[in-house]
Amino acid sequence: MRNLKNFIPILLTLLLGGLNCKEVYTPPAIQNNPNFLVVDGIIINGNDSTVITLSRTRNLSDTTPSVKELSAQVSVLGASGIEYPLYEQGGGRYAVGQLLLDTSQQYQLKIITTDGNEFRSDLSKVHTSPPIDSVYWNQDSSYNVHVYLNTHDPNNSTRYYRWEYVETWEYHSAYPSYLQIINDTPVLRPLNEQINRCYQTKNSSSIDVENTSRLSNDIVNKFEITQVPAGSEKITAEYSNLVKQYAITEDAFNFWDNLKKNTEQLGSLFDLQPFTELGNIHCVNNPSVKCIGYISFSTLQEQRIFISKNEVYPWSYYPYYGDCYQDTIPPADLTKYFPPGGPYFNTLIGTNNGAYIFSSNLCVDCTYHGGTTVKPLYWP
Amino acid sequence: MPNIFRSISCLIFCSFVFSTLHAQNKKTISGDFRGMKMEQFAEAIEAQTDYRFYFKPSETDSMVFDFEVKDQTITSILNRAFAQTDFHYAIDGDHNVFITEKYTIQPDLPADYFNDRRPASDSSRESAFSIDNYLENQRSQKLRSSLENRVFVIGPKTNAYRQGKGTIAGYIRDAKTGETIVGATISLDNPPVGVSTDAFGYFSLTLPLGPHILHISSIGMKSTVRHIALYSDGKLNIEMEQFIPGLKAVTITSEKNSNTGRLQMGVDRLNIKTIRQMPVVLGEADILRAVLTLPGVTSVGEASAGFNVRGGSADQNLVLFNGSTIYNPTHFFGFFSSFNPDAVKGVELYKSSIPEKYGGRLSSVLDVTTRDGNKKKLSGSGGIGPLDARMTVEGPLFNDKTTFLISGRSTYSDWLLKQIPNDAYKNSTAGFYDANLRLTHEINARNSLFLTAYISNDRFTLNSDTLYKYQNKNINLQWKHIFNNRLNAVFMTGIDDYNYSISSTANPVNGYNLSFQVAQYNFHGDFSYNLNTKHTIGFGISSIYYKLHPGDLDPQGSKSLVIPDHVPDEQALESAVYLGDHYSVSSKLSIEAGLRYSLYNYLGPQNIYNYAPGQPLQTTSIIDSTNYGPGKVISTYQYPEYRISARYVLTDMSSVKIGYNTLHQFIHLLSNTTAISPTDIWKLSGPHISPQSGQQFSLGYYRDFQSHTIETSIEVYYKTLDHYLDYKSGASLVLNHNIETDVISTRGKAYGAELMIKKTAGKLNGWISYTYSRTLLQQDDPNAGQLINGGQYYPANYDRPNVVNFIGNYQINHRFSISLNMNYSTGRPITLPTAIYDLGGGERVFYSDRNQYRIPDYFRMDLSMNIEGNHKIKKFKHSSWSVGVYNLTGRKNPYSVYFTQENGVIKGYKLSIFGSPIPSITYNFKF
Repeated sequence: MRNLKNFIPILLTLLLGGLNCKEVYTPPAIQNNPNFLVVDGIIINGNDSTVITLSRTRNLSDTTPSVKELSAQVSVLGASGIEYPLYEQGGGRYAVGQLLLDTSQQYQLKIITTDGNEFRSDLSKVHTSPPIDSVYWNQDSSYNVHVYLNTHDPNNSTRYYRWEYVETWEYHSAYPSYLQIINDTPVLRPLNEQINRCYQTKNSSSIDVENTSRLSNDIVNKFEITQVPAGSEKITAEYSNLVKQYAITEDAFNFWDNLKKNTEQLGSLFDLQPFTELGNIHCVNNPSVKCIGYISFSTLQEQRIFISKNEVYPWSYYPYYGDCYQDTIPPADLTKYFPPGGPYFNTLIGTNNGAYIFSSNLCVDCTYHGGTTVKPLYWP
Repeated sequence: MPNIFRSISCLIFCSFVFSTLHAQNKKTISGDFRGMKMEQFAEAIEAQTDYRFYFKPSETDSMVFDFEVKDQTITSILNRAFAQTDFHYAIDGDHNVFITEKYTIQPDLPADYFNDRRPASDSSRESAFSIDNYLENQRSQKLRSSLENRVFVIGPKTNAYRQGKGTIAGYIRDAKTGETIVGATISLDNPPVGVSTDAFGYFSLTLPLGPHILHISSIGMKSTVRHIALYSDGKLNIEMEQFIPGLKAVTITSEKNSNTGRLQMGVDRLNIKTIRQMPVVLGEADILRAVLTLPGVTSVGEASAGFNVRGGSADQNLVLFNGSTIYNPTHFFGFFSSFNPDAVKGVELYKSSIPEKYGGRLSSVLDVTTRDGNKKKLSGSGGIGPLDARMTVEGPLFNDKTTFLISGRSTYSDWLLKQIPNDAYKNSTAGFYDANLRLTHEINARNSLFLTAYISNDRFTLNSDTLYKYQNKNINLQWKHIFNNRLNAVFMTGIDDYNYSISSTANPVNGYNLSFQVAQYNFHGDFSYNLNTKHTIGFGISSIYYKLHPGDLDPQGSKSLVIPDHVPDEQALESAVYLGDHYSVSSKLSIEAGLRYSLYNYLGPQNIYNYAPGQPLQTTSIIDSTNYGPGKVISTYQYPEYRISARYVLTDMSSVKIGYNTLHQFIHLLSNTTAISPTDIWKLSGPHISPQSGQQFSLGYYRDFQSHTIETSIEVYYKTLDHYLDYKSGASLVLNHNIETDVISTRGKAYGAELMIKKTAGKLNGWISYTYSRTLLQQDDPNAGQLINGGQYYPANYDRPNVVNFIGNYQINHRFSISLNMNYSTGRPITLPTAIYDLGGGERVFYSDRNQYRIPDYFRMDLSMNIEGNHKIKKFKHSSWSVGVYNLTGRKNPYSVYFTQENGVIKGYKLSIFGSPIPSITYNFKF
C-alpha cells in the first residue's frame, strides 16, 4: 500500500503533467507597423500635475523602445474655447502643473503632430473620484501578499473606476561598504553615501479597472490592486504602494477592460478572439490616420501603504546577488583587483588587520541591481 | 421418457416413411376454411369429428388456408391443405393428427415395440408430442443453417405465384440479447433493391410476388440469408448472431454494398465497436473524438467542445441522442464527450445529404443511438479508467416484452487533482457525471414504446473561486406504431434542457449567480410508407417550442449588493412538415427527393426595441419599443428546404452520387471566444436577427475493390452560409438586453474534396482519408461599422486546408488487437499582432487583420492495444483491458498561440494541451 501511495503522484504527473504546457513562441518576423500615434495618460483636475506621453507603434520584432513623438503641440481644450497648453518635457512627455477645470464644462485633448495632423479626443466631462476608503493587504495560504482596496461613492454616481499604483521598495546588498576608491586610493566612504541600501520604484504596468454598475450601492470591496509573490525581493526590508484612483466613464472602462483582456488575460482554453480597440482620439483633418489611446478627465485620490519584512511570514527570499564571498588581499595586491583608472569588477568593503576586504560589485553595491540610494522623502 | 426419446430418434432416423395412412374414416367434413389459421382450422375439424390435431403453433403461424370443402374426407382435406407446403401430416389409430414441418412421422410403431400402447394423449398439445422438444434441440444447434435453408412462406400459399407485389416487414434482432439492430441492410440480387432497418430495427420491403433470397448484413453480426416465398403481404422477423471472430480467420463483415450502393452521400456510420478500438485520451472510448477522425470534420483544437463539419460552425450541428437534442455533448471543458460508450450502439453523421426529416441546423446531424436493454437476460458491463468509472445494467423487466438499460458514469477527478503536487491543480475542482435510462416496451406486434432519459452534469473551479456548472437534461418517449406492412410511424415527444450557472461568493459584496437556460419541447411524427418496389415515401410533422432564459443575474449571499438582472425570456415555435420520396427509377438510378417546409414564429411576451430606419442598430438609434403579449407572434420566418440526392450505379463496383441541400437554422450560439465554451449563450432569431441559411452542393464517386472489402470514395462539395452571426469587437454578450446591436451578420463559403480509402474486412482494417477544405467568412453587413478585415473574406477559426487521418486496426488473434491513429492537419488560423505600442504603463500588442497567420501544423499518433479475456461462452464475467498511449510522439501540438504582457513586457507563448505522451489503462467487464 505504501508503494501505491508513492506511485499515484508519479502516475498522475505522467497522466496530467502533460496537460497545459506553455512554451515560448517566436512569431514570424512581421514587419507591418502601421505607425499609429499612441497617447497615454490621464488629465488630472486639481490636485496633481498632468503628464501625457506620445509615442508611435513599432514592429513586433523591434527590440528598441518605442519611438517617442517629439515637438508636438499638446493642449487641453474646453468646449468654450479655453485652451491649456501642455509643455514638452522630453522623451515624448508633455506636462502641465495643476489644471483647474470646470466640472460643468466639457473638455478634450488636442494634439498637433509635426506632420501636420491634428488629433482630438472626444469631448468629455470632468469626473470627480471619491476618496479611497482603505488600502490593505493579506497573505494567502501560499504566502503571496495581496494588496486590496476599498472605496465607495455615497452618491452612487462614480460606478467606473481606474487605478494606477507605484511600488517602491527598499533592498540591501550583501555587505555594507565602508571604503571607496578615489583616485586609485582607498578612502573612507561617507555615511551619507552608503551603497548597501537602495530604493527601487516601479509604476504599475497592468490595468486595474472595476465597475460597480451591477451593485445596488457604489461600493468597491476588496479589489485586488496587485500581488507580491511570496519570496519576492520587494518585501525584504520595507515595501510601499501608492494607489491612485480615478473616476472614468463606462466607455473608458470598456476600453481599458478590453485592453486588459486582449493583452494580459489570454492563454486560457477559451480565449477571446483578440482585437485592438483604438479609443476615443481621432484625427480631425484626415480620418484615415489612426490613433490609439483613451483620454479621461478626473480628479485624483491617493493612498499609500507600507509593508515591512517582519510583517510577512514566512518569506523565503533568494537574494538577487546569489552566493557572495568576501576576499581578503594584502594592500600590495590592490591594483590586481582595482586596476588604476578602472573599471572595477569588485567593490571594497573594509579592512582587516591591514588587509583589504572586498567582494563583487553586485554583492556590495546595491545600485548595480537598478535601484537608487536616494531615500524617498516619505520613507519611514 | 427415455423410451419415448429412443423411439422418436428411431422414428426420425430410421423410418422415413412418407404419409402412410392407417386409419381411414369415411365420415365427411364440410366447411369454409378461407382465411383461417392452423388453430382455427384444427378447431373447425375437431368440432365435426373426433380427430385431435397436434402441431406446433410457432411452426404453422405463417400458414393461412384458402379453400372451402363440401363433404370431403379428412384425408382429402389434409392433402389439399398441405399440398405445396413443407408440412406433412400423419394420422394414427386413435384419430390423432400430427402436423409436422419437413418430416413425416410414422405414428404407429410396430405392435411389440412397447409393452403398452402409446400413453394417453395429454391435454396440452405442445407437450403431448415430445418430438417438438427434440426438433427444438436440433434447431437450436443448427439454428442458423436451418433458418438459412428453410423457405419462409409469406402469405397464404397458392398453387402459383400471383402477379403483383407484396410487402414484407419486421424486426431484425440480435439472437442472443433480443436487441433490435439499427442500420442492418436487407438486400436482394434480383431485383437489385435494398433497405436498411430504422432506429428501431424495423424494415419494410416491397417486392414482386415470388421466391426471393434476402441477404441480411450488419456490422459486427454474421451475415445471413433468408429464402422467402412471397405470396402476399406478411411479416418476417429475422434474428442475427453476433460475429465472434474465429481463431484463424478474421472477417469483419460490414455493410456490404454500402459505399457504392447506398443512396445517401456524405453519411458516415461508426458502430461502438469501431469507436472502442480507437486509442483515446485517458482510456475512455469517445464518440466525438471518433467523429473527428472522419473526413470533413475538424475542430478548433484538442480541448474544444465543438466540432466543425464541412466548414460549418460548431452550433450548426444537430446532436441527437435517441432523438433528443443535446446542446453541449461534452464534459470537462470539452475534453471528453458526454456519452457513455457502454450505452451507445452507434453514431451516424450526415454531413452532406441531410434527410428531410431533420432540420433546424445548417451543417450536419450527428445521430447517436443507444442500445436497448437485453431482452433475454439480466446483464451488465462497466469499466474503470484513469479518470472515471462506469457501469451499465440491462435486462428484461417483468417479461421479455419490456427491457431496461440504465447506465451511469462518474469521475474521481477531484481526488486526482488533489494528488497533484502543484498549487494550481490543488486549488481546483472538476467533476462530472452522466446517466441514462432506456426503457422499451412491446405492447403488441404493432405498437412499441421507447423511453430515453439522459442527464449529464459538470462542475469546475480552476484555481479560482468561481464555480462553473453546466447540465444537460433530456427525456423523450417514442411510440412506434405499425399501421400495416406498408405504413408505419414513430411519434415522439420530449423535453430537452441545457443550463449553466457561474457563481462566486469569494467577495461577499459581489457574490453573484449568473444562470442561463435553453429548453425545448418537441413533438415529432415520422411516417414511412412503402408505396411499391420503386417508391418509399417518408413524411411527417415536427414542432419545437423553445423557451430561453437568456441570462439571470442574482445576488448570492446575504451581504451581496448585486442587483438582480433578468434578460427577458424568449420563446419561439419552430414547426415543419416534410415529404420525401425514395424513388428507384431503375436498377441503376435512384433518386431521393425531399421537401421540408419550415415555419418559425418568434413569440411574446417580449419587449422589442425599434431602431431608427436606415441607421445602424445601436442603442443610440432606439426610437421606442413595442410590447407584445404572451403567445403573440412577433415575427415569422418560413422557408421551403430542398433535399435532393441521386445515385447512379456505373458498375457492380462503382457509382456516382450527387446531392443538393438547403437548410435553415433559427437558433444561434453566441460566442466571442475562439473555441466555443460551455458558458456561451444561445439566441433565438427574432425581428432584428435573421435565421441562418445554408446550401450545399456535393458530388461523389465511389469505387469498391476486392468484393466490396475495400471502399474508395471522392466527394467534393461547395456550400454557402448566410446570416451567420459574428460580434462587434469588445461586444459583451452576457446579460445584454440589446444584443442585436452587438452582432454582425456574416456570410461564408466552404468548399473541399474528401478522399477516403477504407478496408472493411480482414485482419487489418481501417481507413485513410485526405481532406482539402477551405472555409472563408466575410462581413457584409453595411450597418456593422468597423468591418473585420475591411469586409474581405477571411479564414474561419477552424479552417484547416489539409487534413490526413489514418485509422488502423490489426487483429493479431481473437484476443489481441492493436490500433493506431494518426492525424495530420494544417495549423488553424490565428490573429497575430502586427505591432507593439506602450499604453497603460506597459507594452501592448496591436492586432489588425483577423486570422491571417497559422499556428504550427498539427500531428499526433496514438496507439492502443485491446486485450480480451478468454472467450469461454459460459464464463460468469468477460473482461478486457485496453492499454493505450495518446500522443505517442509527445509532440507539443499548439492549441493556441497568444501574447500577453508580463511585468510590462510582451511575451509570446504556445499553449499545448496534451504536450507529452499520455498513457492510460482501462479495465472493462461484462457479465
